[in-house]
Amino acid sequence: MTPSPRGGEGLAILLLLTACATPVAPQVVSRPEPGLISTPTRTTFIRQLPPALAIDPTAIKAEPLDFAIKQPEILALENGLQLYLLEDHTAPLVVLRALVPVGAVDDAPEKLGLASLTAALVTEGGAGARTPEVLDELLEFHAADASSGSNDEFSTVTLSVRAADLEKLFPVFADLVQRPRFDPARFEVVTTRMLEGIRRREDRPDAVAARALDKAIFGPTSLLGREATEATLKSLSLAEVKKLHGSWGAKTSRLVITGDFDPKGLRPLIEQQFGAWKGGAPPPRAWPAPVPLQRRVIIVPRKLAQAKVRLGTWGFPRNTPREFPLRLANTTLGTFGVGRLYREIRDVRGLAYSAFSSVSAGPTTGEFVAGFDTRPEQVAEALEVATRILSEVGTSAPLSEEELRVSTDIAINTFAFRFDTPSRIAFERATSDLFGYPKDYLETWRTKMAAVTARQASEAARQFGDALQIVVVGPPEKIGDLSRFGPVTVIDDVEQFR
Amino acid sequence: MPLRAWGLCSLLATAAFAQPRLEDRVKELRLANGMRWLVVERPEAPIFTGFIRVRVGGADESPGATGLAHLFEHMAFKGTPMLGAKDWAAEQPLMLELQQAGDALARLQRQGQANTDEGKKLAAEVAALQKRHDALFDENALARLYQVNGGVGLNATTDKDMTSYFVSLPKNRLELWLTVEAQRFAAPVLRDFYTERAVVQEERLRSIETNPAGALYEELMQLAFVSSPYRWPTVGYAPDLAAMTWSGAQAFFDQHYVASNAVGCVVGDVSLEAMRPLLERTFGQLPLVPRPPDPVFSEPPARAQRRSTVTFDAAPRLMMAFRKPGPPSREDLVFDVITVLLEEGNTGRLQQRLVFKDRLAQDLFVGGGPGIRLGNLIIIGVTPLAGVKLEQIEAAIWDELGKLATQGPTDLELQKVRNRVTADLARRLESNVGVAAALSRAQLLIGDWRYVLERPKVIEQIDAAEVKAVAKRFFVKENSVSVSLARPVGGAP
Repeated sequence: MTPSPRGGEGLAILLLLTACATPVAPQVVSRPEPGLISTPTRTTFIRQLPPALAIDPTAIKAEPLDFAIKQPEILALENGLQLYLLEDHTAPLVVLRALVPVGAVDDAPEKLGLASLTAALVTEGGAGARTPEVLDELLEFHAADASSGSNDEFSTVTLSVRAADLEKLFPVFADLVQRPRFDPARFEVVTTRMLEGIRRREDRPDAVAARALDKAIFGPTSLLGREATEATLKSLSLAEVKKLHGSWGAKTSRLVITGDFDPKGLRPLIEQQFGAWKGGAPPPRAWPAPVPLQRRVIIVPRKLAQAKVRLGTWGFPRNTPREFPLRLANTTLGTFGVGRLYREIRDVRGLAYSAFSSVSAGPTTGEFVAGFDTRPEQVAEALEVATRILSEVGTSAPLSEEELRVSTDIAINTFAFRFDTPSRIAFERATSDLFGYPKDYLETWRTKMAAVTARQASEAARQFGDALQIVVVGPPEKIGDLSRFGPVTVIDDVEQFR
Repeated sequence: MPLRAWGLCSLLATAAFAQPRLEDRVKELRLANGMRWLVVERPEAPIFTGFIRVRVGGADESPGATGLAHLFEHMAFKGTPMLGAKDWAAEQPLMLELQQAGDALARLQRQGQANTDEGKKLAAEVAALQKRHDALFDENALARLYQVNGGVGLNATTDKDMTSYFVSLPKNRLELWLTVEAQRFAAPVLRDFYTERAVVQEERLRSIETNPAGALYEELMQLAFVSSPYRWPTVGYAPDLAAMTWSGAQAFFDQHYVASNAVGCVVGDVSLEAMRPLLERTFGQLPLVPRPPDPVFSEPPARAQRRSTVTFDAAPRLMMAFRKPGPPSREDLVFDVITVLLEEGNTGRLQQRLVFKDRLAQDLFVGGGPGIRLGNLIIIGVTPLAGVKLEQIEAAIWDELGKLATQGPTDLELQKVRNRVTADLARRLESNVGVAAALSRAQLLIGDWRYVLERPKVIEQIDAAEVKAVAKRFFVKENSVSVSLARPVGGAP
């Protein structure tokens, strides 16, 4: 069919397509077959529901849902290594994961990229008695997936194996974590690939916006705002990689094992393969207090048909009661299909494919980020809306009781999905232990969420309007003057943003 | 610690014994109107995932109306007569007025006349009508209803073959899900059509115009196909989007959204017995209508290699592709074997050669596309390292493909492929979403969900001679397409 050159004439009938027949014998509606050259087909411009379906879905009652949160078995070896074991026999697979508290924040400023390169090389550079080529062949022949990497605060090594291969490949996992070979040729390959990634990060305007925003929120040279560059990566040596890996140790690490295993058989194997591991200790961390922010606009000039706009400020530190009102306020602002930003920027004005927000925890503070992508000429209009929404929510337009109810329902009813797979349950438990959350954090989460009032959520949301960092990536000549949103800084190269 | 009582068998897979096999857990149901349903009971968590898939995608559009299937998918979130309406009686005549003005404006847009006095007058009229209409409905009623009921992953996708609507919910929301999905299938109201059309235009800017990989992929398809509807992008071309009419979207819906052209699938803590009456009351109410025909076209034979370069201000990239038959052909499965042989991990032949041995590429992928209903492509995408000439990369790829065609794979390689295919299937079938996605797709596009489980068994039988023969037949210049991305002369901005 074609977009009709025929206009409204065929449509001026409000045809009712209702099932008049009994529900068991659906009616047959004959439809003209489209010919080779499309001919106008008669269409029902507005359809009505069959009578049996014409019910109000919002009135459908749900039975109460009660469920217990599965708990991993938590143990410790004598060397201090903590184990999180959770069986799941739905598929013949086992996932082995090590969580090591060494990350990018431990890198010296001139050596940024070291933690990430080290973690990546653990699974790329051979291990134990096996060269990289032999190791790759062994794992890939058995369809085992090895991966490793790091973020700001920790590194992970993951090996996913078929249950039948567990006994054979568990010692390989122990080799990867404890005895990586750091093959020099692979060191070259992995470094080159990471350098290429740095060269290409300019190609993705949304990545450019995210980097600029992180630097703006945390400070460009702060532990959480800085980033590896070509120069810092090129300065890294194999000796430095080996030295950093030396700080990985049993005392501070966690093993998370989930899937189709028999714990009686697995525990002695863990003891045998990891019981003698000592390793070192991660470098101590000092977190300077974050520097208070002043509202500003940062323009990153790029020739683009669509500008990327991000607005951000602080989130919250870990393990604070502020988490709950902030999360509810964020849900009210930025949830798909529901949030104020989404509705006003996307639905009411059609300015963007999506408008979202998120809020997160961090060691000193986390991040609140709101964003949307829009045509350069529309940036000012959309920013007008976004900044108004963000400042109003804590002042003149607090959360309504209805908004609070919706946001609380979303939080509580989606909670079951945090526990949809054993690997998520066990890993979430291990990371919340790593970050020092209380043991009952997950068990009491829903109760605490349900106790938040609209007033508390609105008061907490005041911080979203303060000191916004507004990043716009796009062509300045089409975006126009944004100085009414705050003092404007132009940054050509995000890497040079200091 | 000594390994006492540590027998060889103690770690063996227990899944096979503890759980019934997937093939025994899939229950099928066919409604009187021809709609097929698959139900898989997985009581491990108190949740379920629901999929509705309709066999309509970009391939069912025609030139001049590209992007319609995807735009319609967006419109299916705008509610029904029972969801989102504040004054249904007042809304209907107003929508008709709005549609007539809006579609007239769209036709002017198509003729390049939108900026005339007539166009401006119509635009003002449309804006005024839209404003009046806005007061009569809540366009987020559907999304909010799912969200407050604990919906996770609420979304829809459109590709060249099909449109899919899915969400995961707590298990006590099954009736709600079936009711809402059946209602929007029976009577979606295309509220806010013209605003959503603008949103899709933004989506095109985001996914293609400002995304080097998207721009290159669009060019590859345009070059690889001449008359196949796989030629144009699912999101549509900008002028087609700008001129899309509401009546056109409604007519497209009328033709393709019929029960016999759809598959439903529920995976999770549910039972077929509990579902049966609910299904009769919901999707069972849809009329029986025959399935629309598949696209008719004939792709002319390719006589020469096709090449082009896209100018884009980003680091270079390369994509090569070869035309091939889609599933359920035997050749398609041989290409699945070839994909693993070339791409898998660090030991795949192209990985070995381009990333580790010759050090020409940062990364690469091998995969099929853009759909599986029609003849399709095997695609090799390469991210070169800085300073590497693309000719070098192409030459190395041709060299590896040539070796496969002359020497074939080794037995060890073939066993590796078999292990990989079986393990990947197990990984995909670990989650409710994975099971629902795989089974419903095979049921809708290939006609049988069992294809998902049969595929590894067929792959098990493919031998070196067969791989060699297929490689020899398809990896030839005349059957190949090569596109690359290069910066404009004058460099970065």
